[in-house]
Amino acid sequence: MLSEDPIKHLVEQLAKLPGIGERTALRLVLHMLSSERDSVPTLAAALMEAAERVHECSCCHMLTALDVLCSTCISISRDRSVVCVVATVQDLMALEATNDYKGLYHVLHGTLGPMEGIGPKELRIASFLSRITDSNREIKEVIIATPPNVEGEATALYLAGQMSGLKVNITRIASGVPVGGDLQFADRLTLSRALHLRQRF
Amino acid sequence: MKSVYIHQLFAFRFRNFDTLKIELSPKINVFFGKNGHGKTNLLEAISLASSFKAIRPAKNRDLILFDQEQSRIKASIAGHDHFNVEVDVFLQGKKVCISGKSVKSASAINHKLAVITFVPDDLHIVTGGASFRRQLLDQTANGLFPIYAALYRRFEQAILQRNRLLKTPGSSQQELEAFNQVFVQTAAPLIKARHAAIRILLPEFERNLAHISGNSISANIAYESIDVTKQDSEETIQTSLWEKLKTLQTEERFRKTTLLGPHLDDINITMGTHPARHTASRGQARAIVLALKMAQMHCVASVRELTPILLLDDVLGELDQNNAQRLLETIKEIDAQTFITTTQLELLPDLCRDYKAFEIHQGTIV
Ligand SMILES: Nc1ncnc2c1ncn2[C@@H]1O[C@H](COP(=O)(O)OP(=O)(O)OP(=O)(O)O)[C@@H](O)[C@H]1O
Ligand SMILES: [Mg+2]
Ligand SMILES: [Zn+2]
Repeated sequence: MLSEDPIKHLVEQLAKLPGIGERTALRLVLHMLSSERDSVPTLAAALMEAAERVHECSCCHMLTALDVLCSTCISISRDRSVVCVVATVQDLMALEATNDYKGLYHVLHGTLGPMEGIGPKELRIASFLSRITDSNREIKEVIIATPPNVEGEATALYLAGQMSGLKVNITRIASGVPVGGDLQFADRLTLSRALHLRQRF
Repeated sequence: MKSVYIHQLFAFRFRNFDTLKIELSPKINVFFGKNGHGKTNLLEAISLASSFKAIRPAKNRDLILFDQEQSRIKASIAGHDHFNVEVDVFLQGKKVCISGKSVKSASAINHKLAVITFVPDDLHIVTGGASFRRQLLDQTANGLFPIYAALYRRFEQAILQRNRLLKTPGSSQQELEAFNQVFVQTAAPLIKARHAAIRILLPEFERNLAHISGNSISANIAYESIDVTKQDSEETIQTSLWEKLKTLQTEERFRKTTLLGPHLDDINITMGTHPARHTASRGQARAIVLALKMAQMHCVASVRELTPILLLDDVLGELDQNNAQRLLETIKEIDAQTFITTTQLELLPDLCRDYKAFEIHQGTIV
């Protein structure tokens, strides 16, 4: 379908992306159409290819271009007794980048947020719970690594509640100390909160 | 005693000020001029720069000069600490920086500065609704415990989410349990901080009230929240909140909103056995308000060992000559940087002679 005003149409599409406003979108479009014109087909093709090939791993819901399972889930060198639950793909990538963690993951694709219309059904929670039950006790520990904000905390508590009948150790990453940025303002009350939370799960 | 003050203030397209740049005195500053020319607006700019809070509840749109989309306030702070504060107000939100570094909550500025305001609305603390007293509570806690603002922000978010969940048809009990826990976890530290604030405020309040009234009025203040005592730990407060929450379960589901918590708490002000709200005379109510405000100033100064910045909007004119004198004595005693607005310089009490005056006329300094 041809649009009446291709520039406007493209700007509108780009401006739907998070962190990109109308102004930035226009700047990107004008840049692509002038100095980067030659790379437009490559960009368009890359976008199409990613959209066609990338899907959620059927086990952990990480995005992958592999057939059914992602590279972590098929790897033989990972510790299959630990699963770390994260809210987003970026969070998984950040944890992977530390090179510290050798277990498996589960990506929820969000956190509970009634105001955003996100309830348990909108997240990959049901598949997570059946993953634990179906593992026949192979999974011994679940580390909940949702963000330390209100929504991440509620998600962690919800998950812990759902797992209460299962024979699995639940731990929560230390939180409360604002990571980066505001660290200098973290004081006793926040730190005590971090300790407090660690006992809870 | 650490003393910091606003050395320079710059405002751009803020309220009715197009551009404003002033050098302030570390002692008393007086903004005078006719009604509606921008004195309170200027005080509001100072309040935003020093506490990230507007002096009266205001929408972002109202803080920006008519027909503009952004306003900016900058302040340079001097004294025992040197830094800059930048507040950008956009239609959709605010962005605040301390010395170029973006910060998320008011706790960041509260660590460095303490601000106490005294505005005509405060005269309703004794006789008005609970929100006036909660404001006093929050301002005191913010002044005493810098982390309070961050805790409050977290609590507000929790309550917004919980209220929405209560309104969401078909939401599960398990999901509500999760948000109940977050609610309890975020409410408890606030309640504890407020208890502590009142405990610190009470003796100063009594002392000041005795002084103001020549020992003729005595009153008591108590924090009214769920049934906990001042000494209770955060864990005990959490347990009490849980229990109360259980009893309210059905009603909350029915009313679709949270029915307990710090956002509904109050301060009980009593004279003898009677609630001052219903029994205090006008003069007594004013004396109590003044004693509370003076107590705030003294407490913050002594507990934080930091001289607070005082913003007094029109109140000197509202108080009688004796009470105005007492307030000025307190200001002199704690040696605070002070901002006073008035329509007429001549109305300032005698004690207030040593000040820097700015005449405000139609959004500019004359
Ligand atoms: N966003 C805005 N843009 C332009 N003007 C504004 C804006 N908001 C308020 N004003 C103007 O500011 C004026 C009010 O200023 P302010 O409340 O500071 O007055 P004041 O000097 O304190 O008066 P008073 O002595 O009556 O208290 C009004 O005339 C109002 O129209
Ligand atoms: Mg005014
Ligand atoms: Zn996978």
